[in-house]
Amino acid sequence: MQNRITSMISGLMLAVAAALMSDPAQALIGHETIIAFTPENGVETRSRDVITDQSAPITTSITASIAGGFGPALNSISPLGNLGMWGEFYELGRIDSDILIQNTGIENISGRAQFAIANFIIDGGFLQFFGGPGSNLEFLLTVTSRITDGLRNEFTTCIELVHDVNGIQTILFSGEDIGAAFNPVRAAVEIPRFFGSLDIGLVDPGGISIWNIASK
Amino acid sequence: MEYRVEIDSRIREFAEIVQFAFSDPLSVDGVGEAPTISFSDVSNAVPEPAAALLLLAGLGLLAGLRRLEAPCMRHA
Repeated sequence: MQNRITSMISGLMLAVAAALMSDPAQALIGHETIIAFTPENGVETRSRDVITDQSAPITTSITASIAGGFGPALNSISPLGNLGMWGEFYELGRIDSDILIQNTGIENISGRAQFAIANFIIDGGFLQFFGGPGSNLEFLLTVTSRITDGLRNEFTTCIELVHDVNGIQTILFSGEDIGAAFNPVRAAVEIPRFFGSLDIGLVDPGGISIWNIASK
Repeated sequence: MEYRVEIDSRIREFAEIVQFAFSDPLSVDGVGEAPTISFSDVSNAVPEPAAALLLLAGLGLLAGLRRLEAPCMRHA
């Protein structure tokens, strides 16, 4: 009896999955993270992990990590979209650390046009940088929405620590002000916890969609 | 909807240390940074100054009418 119920439930789940998969407008949640270090005269060390809910709901975290003489680094994203990035580097070269979370279909199911707003958390952190002339460290956070018919809105904040070729050190802040500031005691730019919001606009019955997963 | 964080660095000449942390990659339990979307029938727009002036003018008009009406009410 139990086997029969189990097979019935499995069959039902398969039918539902097949129905969902056959819909070309199926929403897609995707998580992706990459860390790469490329020494000045050497071979790139790279780690990448990606997961989508195309075939099954996301139930596991993904991580990307690298380690070597240049230093360690780790990124991770949980199924619910909780994320973290950390790295320490001691060698000349290029660092690329990226996290991308996207959802292609958050649908307005009310049956009438409604205003939509995205709320998100910037969980805080720090940036510390002692590199030679011609070096920089850049933090860029972008939250983007696009309504199905094309209206696109963006929340961007950027912090760049620069040691230019003339030996001048500066910190550049651009985009939205999230309260990040240089702490001279710690010799680091500290990013506070920040609650952000993005006006998406008036959404017709239908959905909000966004592009494919990007990778570097 | 897309939430993207990029931390990039180029280290030249000398590298004492380049260090960064954003949230905590060893503790990603619970609700995340990813955006949540809420729908409503009204926008979150703040009234424009012109709209606020119109509103105040209307209130002033009502107060003026009230003052004009008040003596008549006393006689009645």
